[in-house]
Amino acid sequence: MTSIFTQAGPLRAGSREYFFWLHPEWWCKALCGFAWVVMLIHGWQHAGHEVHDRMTFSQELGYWMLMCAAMMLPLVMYQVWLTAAGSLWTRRHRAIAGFLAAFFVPWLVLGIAAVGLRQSSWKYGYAIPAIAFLSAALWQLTAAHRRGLIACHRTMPLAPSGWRADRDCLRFGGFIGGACVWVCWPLMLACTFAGHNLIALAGSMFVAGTERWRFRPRQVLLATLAMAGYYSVLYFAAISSRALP
Amino acid sequence: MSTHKHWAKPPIWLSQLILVSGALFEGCGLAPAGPVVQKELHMQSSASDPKKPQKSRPPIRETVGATSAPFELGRGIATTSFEVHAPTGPALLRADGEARHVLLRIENVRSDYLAPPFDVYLNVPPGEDPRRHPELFAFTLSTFGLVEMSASTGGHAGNGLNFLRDVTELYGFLSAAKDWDPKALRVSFVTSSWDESAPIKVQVGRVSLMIE
Repeated sequence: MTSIFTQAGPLRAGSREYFFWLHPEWWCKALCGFAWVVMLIHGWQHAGHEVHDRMTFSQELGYWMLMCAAMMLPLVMYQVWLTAAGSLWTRRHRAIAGFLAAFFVPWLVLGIAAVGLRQSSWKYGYAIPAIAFLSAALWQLTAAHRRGLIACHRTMPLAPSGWRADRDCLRFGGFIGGACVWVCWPLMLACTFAGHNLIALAGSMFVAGTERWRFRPRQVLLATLAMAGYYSVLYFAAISSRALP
Repeated sequence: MSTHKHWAKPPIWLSQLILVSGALFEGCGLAPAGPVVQKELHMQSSASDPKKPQKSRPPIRETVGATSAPFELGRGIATTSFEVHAPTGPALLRADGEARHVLLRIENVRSDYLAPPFDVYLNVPPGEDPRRHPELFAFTLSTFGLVEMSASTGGHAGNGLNFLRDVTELYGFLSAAKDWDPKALRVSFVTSSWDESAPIKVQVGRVSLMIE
């Protein structure tokens, strides 16, 4: 018979092995979980004064990338799985690594710009996140945002082996990362200016997931406006407290 | 296009018979069953054991070969080939002890123009007309909705059409041929009759072979 029907060495298909076979993207989920744990600890340590929290450039950039991993990886888990499933079995993890490496490049570029902006002293207040969330709500009404959202669902053919396979994984990851940045950049900037506040992170995650998986523009818009309102209230509360004798 | 197949069905029943007889001989200590067969037998026997009920696990597909670049289909015959690798993962094992399935996947079929359906053949000898080999016919690739699925308007990404077809029977037939090369697979696409003045320009993203 053919090589396909030929049995090779012994295989053990216990529950654990079967789980890892079924979910080759398991370590991507673990990475996402780790990022959430770090962000939760950070949010817990700076609860209540995240907006005023000043960090060095490298620290801020590190938290930006962790925030991207925590919030964006769940949204592209299907594409990660698709990359693994479309690759030869022996190179499935390499394919995932290539996809993720390229996926995070656009986020890193935006992160450098965002952290550069964040370093300015006038960014440490409630007005900036409120304006950023309002901008995010307005961005969701545009046709460009809708086009980006559609592009997030794009798939690309992957070569099975050789340098072409690596190139295709990088290209696929880069394309999805670019589309992801195009759709979510105002929300992520708002989260950064909110000092990685957990409410902002969870709210933005909800918005991004809802608009990606269940396209309900009105609810998504309302959720983003609610976050803009939340930071507006905080801003005016801060002003009024300063005005008190 | 005739889809009639002149050859007998692949020996799925035979593999089951071998497994059962292997189990009987194994009990007598006569048959040197291979390691995976032993595992399959073990899983079969344990599944039938009422004291140790096993969860039903769906099979996992494993890609064993694919084209390395997109290609175009036009008028006439288009052929592509790719290397087939031996499975190294879950395709080696079927948890439920059944025979494996061979699946042909055609991904990201896109076109800006209406196109006719294509007949797909496997391992047609080079230089020969696939239509002279009805026994190598795999399936018809329908192009219904091709233009709509190729455009990134209307709320979807324009990924085109994707097809997944079970070619286990044909693959079993091919593997029995004398000139069978297990490390390569040729896939031929043949257009049906179509308006001569209308252009045919269909892009195929990838053709891959999967085992489950």
